[in-house]
Amino acid sequence: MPELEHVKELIESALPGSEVEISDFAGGGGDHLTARVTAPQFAGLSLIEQHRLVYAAVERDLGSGAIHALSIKTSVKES
Amino acid sequence: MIVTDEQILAEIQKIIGEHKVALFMKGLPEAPRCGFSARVVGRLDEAGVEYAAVDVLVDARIRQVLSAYSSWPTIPQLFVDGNLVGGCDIVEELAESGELPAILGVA
Repeated sequence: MPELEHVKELIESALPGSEVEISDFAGGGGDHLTARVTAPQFAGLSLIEQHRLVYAAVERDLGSGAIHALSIKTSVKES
Repeated sequence: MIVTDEQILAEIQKIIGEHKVALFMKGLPEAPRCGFSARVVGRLDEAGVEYAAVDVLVDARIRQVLSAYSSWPTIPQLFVDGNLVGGCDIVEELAESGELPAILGVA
């Protein structure tokens, strides 16, 4: 099971300057996660492109099945 | 019959090319087998749009080939006019903001 803190670090290091909040929405099992990400890198990007950046950051954990489901909510961080 | 990855890709492209709205999901609209897929079905029904649905659970390779093609790792995936609109989170966000019917062409 991935640690929530670990997932947060993966996203924050992929998107420097971002604010990331990870929560567990399936009763604390740790593999159904919600990521709320506010990042300056999202400026000017479509929702699809914003979500792709988040997926890319956690690609390995998603691919391995460590994270079964990741719900993503993005917003642009104004610089 | 042996089906190759190329044939699966050709079938995926055919479906998104022939249908204005196409949903790749787990299960079928009448019986979704995943909460995320069920939510997108609900949003599409709410919008009153007709769409083609493909159950990716029929063959594990559909999901692999689809994700490689769309650069999108998860299911469901909603396509409109051949372009990926997104997964469950984006569809719900667009529905909440009121943009979804226009994107689906039923505004």
